[in-house]
Amino acid sequence: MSKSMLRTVLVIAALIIGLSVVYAPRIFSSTPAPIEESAEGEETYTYVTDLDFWKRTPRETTVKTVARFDLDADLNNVPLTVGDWQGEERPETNQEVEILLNPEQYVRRLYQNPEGQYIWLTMIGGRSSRPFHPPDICYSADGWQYDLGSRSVSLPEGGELYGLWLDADKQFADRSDPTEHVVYYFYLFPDKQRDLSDGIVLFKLTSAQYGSMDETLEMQADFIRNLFLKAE
Amino acid sequence: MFVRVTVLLFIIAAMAGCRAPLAPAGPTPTPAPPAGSCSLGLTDGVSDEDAIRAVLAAEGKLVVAQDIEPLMQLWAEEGVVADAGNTPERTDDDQRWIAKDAIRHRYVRTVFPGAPSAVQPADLEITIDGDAATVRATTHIGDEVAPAGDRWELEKRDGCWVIKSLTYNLEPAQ
Repeated sequence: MSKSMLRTVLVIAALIIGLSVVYAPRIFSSTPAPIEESAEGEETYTYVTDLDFWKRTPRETTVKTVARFDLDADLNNVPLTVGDWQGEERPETNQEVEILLNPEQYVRRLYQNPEGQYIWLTMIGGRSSRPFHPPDICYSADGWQYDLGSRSVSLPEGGELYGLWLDADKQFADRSDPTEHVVYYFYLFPDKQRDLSDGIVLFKLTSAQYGSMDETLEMQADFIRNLFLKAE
Repeated sequence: MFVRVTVLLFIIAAMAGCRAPLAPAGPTPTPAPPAGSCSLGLTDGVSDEDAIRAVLAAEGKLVVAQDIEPLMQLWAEEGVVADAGNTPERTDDDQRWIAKDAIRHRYVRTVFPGAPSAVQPADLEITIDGDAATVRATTHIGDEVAPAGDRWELEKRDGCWVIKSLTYNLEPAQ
């Protein structure tokens, strides 16, 4: 091998090593993989959750889940049976949602528990900011009055998952009482890099108010505890 | 040959670094930063009234700068922002952001996107009662003026004045 050829090979080798060092963490960190099995022998996955997708907040946390919440998977595979809750698909029929948000994935379900309580689960996935209008902005634009706060959910294997809640109401002309929605939501990212192109999923629960606001949020927390096992 | 290949490889390597840098990792546990007026580097012995004025002035400047971390240091953990909706005689129609996470969300998702170029509370009427203070203010947001439309409540904790609440749109509808 000539000296010139040897130098070329050495330079190429050095560049390959350098590029590997730069890109390997991104490549390997963007694919969520089962990290262990839960006590029931289920595969579990890790994600990062936060109250917002745009700017990191102090509530960012890493969670262990029993289902995949990333865009390399089909969000329709999130179980229809969630603890005592039984769900059915209720695809979005409003074409404006599709046109306005243009999500990569959009799953909408109605779950019911044995007490006859209902929860809507909406999961919106995308790789740009377009599908992710903060729910409070949408409610406000549609004429709802609301209070907004945050609440943590204690998970079965430890740790707290934080979400934002919305207590929204609106008086419709054809109803005697105001319609009330209790919304709880947070965002899921495949990893801490939170790169938009890796995909983001909005996880949103909506229900009527059952009892007090606290009782309603606790009912929603019960649903969440069946999908999210641990936070750290 | 070697020179051509080397130059080509260095160009490729340089371009490979063009992607935006990785986002910084999440916050690590650190001691609680100074809160409220104590986060502003005020001189020792500053009066309560001047400390309160400094907190509200800093709130305006940090909103314009969209600097969320020091902005949130001005707030009490249980702070509340309320939109009185120009019906000051009623509170049941107020829209509220309850506690720091919600207040942060309001700044980042509602206030900052409006890109306010100047937010300064003016005509402050400060009433101090022990460790509690109430401030009525006229706020100028750019060309928009809300005369006596804001009410701030602050509390002195461990020597630091922190914001407990802001109620805005208190001026009655015309």
